[in-house]
Amino acid sequence: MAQKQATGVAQPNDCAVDERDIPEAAENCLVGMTFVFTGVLPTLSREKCKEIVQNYGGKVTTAPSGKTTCIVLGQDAGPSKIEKIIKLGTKTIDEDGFIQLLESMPANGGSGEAAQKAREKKELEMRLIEEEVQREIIQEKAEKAAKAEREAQAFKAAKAAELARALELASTQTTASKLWTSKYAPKSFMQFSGNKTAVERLRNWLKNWDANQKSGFLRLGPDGSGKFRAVIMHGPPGIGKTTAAHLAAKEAGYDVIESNASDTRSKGLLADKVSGILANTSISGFFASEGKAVDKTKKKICVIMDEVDGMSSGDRGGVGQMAALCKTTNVPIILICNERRLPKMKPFDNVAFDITFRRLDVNQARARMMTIAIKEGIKIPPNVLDNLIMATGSDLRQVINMLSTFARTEKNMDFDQSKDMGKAWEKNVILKPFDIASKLLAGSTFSASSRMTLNDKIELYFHDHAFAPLMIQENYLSTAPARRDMCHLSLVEHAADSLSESDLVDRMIHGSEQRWSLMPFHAVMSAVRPSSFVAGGMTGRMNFNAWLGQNSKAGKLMRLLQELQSHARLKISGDRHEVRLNYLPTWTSRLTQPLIEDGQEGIANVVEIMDEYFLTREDWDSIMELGVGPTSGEVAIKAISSTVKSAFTRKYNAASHPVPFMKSATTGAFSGGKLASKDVPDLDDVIEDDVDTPNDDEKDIIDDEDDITKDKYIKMGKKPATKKAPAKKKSTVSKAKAKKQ
Amino acid sequence: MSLWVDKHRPRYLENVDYHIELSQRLKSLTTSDFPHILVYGPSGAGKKTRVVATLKELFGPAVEKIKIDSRVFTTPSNKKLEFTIVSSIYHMEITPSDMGSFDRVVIQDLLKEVAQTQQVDLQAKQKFKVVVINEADSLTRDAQAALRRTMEKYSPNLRLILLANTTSNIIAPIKSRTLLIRVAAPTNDEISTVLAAVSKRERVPLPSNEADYQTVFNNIAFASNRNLRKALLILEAMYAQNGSLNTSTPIPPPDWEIVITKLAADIASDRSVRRIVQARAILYELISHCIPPNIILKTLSFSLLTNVQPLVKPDIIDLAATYDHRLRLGSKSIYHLEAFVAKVMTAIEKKS
Repeated sequence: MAQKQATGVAQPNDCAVDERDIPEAAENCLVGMTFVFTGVLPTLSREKCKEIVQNYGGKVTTAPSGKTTCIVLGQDAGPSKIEKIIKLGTKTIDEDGFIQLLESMPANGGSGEAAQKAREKKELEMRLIEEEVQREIIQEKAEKAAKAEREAQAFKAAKAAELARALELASTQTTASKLWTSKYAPKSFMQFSGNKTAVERLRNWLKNWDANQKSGFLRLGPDGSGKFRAVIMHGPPGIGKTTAAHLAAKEAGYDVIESNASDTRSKGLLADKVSGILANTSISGFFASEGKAVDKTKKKICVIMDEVDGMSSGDRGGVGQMAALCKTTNVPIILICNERRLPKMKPFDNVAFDITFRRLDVNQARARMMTIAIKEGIKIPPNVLDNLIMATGSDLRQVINMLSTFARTEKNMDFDQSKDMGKAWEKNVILKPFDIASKLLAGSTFSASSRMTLNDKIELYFHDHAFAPLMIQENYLSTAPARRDMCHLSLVEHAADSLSESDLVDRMIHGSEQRWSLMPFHAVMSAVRPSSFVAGGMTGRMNFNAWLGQNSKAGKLMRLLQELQSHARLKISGDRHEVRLNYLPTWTSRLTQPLIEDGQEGIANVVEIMDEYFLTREDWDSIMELGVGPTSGEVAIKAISSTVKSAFTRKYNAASHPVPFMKSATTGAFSGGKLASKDVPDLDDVIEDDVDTPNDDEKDIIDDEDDITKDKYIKMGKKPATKKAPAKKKSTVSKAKAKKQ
Repeated sequence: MSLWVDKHRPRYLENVDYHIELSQRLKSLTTSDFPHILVYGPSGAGKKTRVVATLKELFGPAVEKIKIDSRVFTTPSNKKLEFTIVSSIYHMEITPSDMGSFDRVVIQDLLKEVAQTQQVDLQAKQKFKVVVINEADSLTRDAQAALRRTMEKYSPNLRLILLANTTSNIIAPIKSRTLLIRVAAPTNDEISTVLAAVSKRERVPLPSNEADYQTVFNNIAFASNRNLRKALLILEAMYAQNGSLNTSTPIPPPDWEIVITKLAADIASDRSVRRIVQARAILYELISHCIPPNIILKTLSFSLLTNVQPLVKPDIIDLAATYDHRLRLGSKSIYHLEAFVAKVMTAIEKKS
């Protein structure tokens, strides 16, 4: 094994190069076998191995279990896995063994017991599918016959050539021009694949709806759905939510009124239209169009609101209104959406019964897809179909669309074709911050044999360019670096330096320069380069970045400090940093020491200092909160007994205190770009006589005279300044009144 | 009962204790046409004290009758921001950096408003009003640009006094329009003299021995880092805690200094990645509790110097300079502080 040495440092996961020639093996030779790949194989990547096994009909799982046939062991396998392997006593082989196995296995898995079983199972499955196809074909024929008969009768009855032509046209259109997705949409729950419990819940809820209504939606019922007038179904696209809703409505005898994102669903429209429906019965229970039987069961109405998460800015208040309707409706409402967890879907909490639809397992989806393929005459082996289903993330609608596209040109699909197709139709998944960080920090990403290019790595950053750097910064210290050329500390030092430089780039991008073309460079400096040093297995849990939280905490404390400084400003000459750095320690001790040492007697002393600096009781708390370390106020507070503390609060609140100014929070009116809030200063230091009122105030009032009615704050009047606060207030108001008149 | 630092603040230019020459110059400025001035110097040197005394010289005692106003500004993006203004009838004091990146709005609206109004009080000593701008060195470029034309255009009605720690962040056009006045930090001797005077007025029990008497003040002056405000606050804290002063009275370091000194000792003794993780938590704590990152870096570097081998010291100074620069250029200070810690650790590791 010359290559074995060449690959150098081994990494977990898929870092090996696929430079080895894979021998051509017999078809389906791995049928019935389950493989687990662990550690790093010398020449094959994990992806490639998986591909090979699936191509030859085998199965690959991630963790060993009792069902595992064979474990392919590479270097640096996880200790927990090895432990489990020993416990289970499963056969282990290395890469060479795997290749040998591949070469030696006869077609269809030979005569082994497992292979036999798998074959039998597969045959059974195929037989069931064949039966299903036959049944459907028969059913369709019968339907067609019935329809033809009906049409013939109608034709006879109408005796109108025109109508007949129209009908003929319509009947030919129905099958030929239908999309496969609607052609093969399940016509009963028999044909519905997967999500059995979810469907069952929906059916039960709808079935019991009338009974629940009679009891006033008070009883919960066995599954807890009895209290709800509405349900909300949510799950990824293409797994049959809408179909299930329609089927359930049909089965329970409801006429469906559907509304989806193509309709405007604003608050007003919903209130008008939907609430009108909610108290009605369907006409189709009484009448039918010419030539159709009246379906007497269809007297009831059911509303299906599709794509509720598509209610966007155009549908103002739509979600809220919908939720309100759900509380009072007299007909069942079925809501359908993809993302239930979005904040805008919050109004539906406790209003609608949650039914979760999950992605289908390959096994659940295979039968139905196979049926369709056979009916359309496409030859497709099960493992190829599986691959398609997996590639789309079990989006059945997409698989059907792919099949229908494929059937246009060819009738046989092999594994490679399905792979290409899957790749071409691949949905662009946006990775979440956690996934980005774990991908970048994984040792395999930067190993010598990694197949990721620099561009691929940069691409990872662009999945979420705001969070990726923060996540890397948060977690780069908690890896066990795979690189061995430097010690851990040096690697971290390089990474830290790169992060520091990236911040300068970030400033150029988001600062006043707005040089967005530097984004790829920022990607390299903030995410790729730091990771290149420290990439390796995580030693701890991946943490969410602390920077955001710390930043908002800093912002909050800075506001407190600013408030503090603005109160004390009349006495203090320093800026807020000076207040923090030099005043705060002295204040902390001066404002707590008397309370600790003298107890209640110290309160007066503390209040005196506070009044001197115009500090409020809240500022006292801020001072304590702003401290750090062992001499901070928060430590000092613990030494103050709770009785003294509450006495302090009481005593402070009982007396009145000088305030340097009044806040303008109450002024609501605005004019132009600026607003001078004219609050009454409650201060002894203010100007003695009215005559000296600053003339800029005068000007403001004149400016605002035009719309004096709008500007509420004018009532507060300009700043007169007398010594006593209450008297001053009175005079202000009266003056303002006089001005108005 | 104010703290001593505020209680004994000189109110007249004649009473200011040191930089006598500077006081005389300021006084002579008030007699002739008063220019725009830019006062700069480290904190605790007495910039504001001198400015207030100068204003008093200019306008008389009315400038001491000040009030605090709060105003609401709307930014171009319709955000409402509250802004506080300290003003008397003759002057107005603003801190535009309170508004962060919206300081331009304040400069544009507020200054123009003041500047376009003429003094109507015939008894006023001066025809102009003075606007004092605090923290002028943290004004954004935009705000400084907004200042330049205003300073010339409205000079009959308005004089500006800019207060800054350094002139390096102030754009050249502003510097050329102002008279630069440097207020240097007081020397340790000057601080000791002030401390002695204050303690005498407050009747602080002091050692009778002349040498000890001097040492007490010298120690405080040294601990204050030539910051008179800090020195006075330390003096008072020492007095409040002990009731008297002598050479053995401990000088209480401020809360944040204790934390940083401990951090420095930890970094120097244990150089590992685990320690960096712990350092990050401490640094976050300091930053979020409003300790300016450059102060953290400075204090950390100087206390590291006392903890390491002489060979490493130049490296640490070099690194501190590099990362101080980066702190200025960048926006996420934790990145730079953390990188500094990591770099220092490897530097110590290499030389040991």
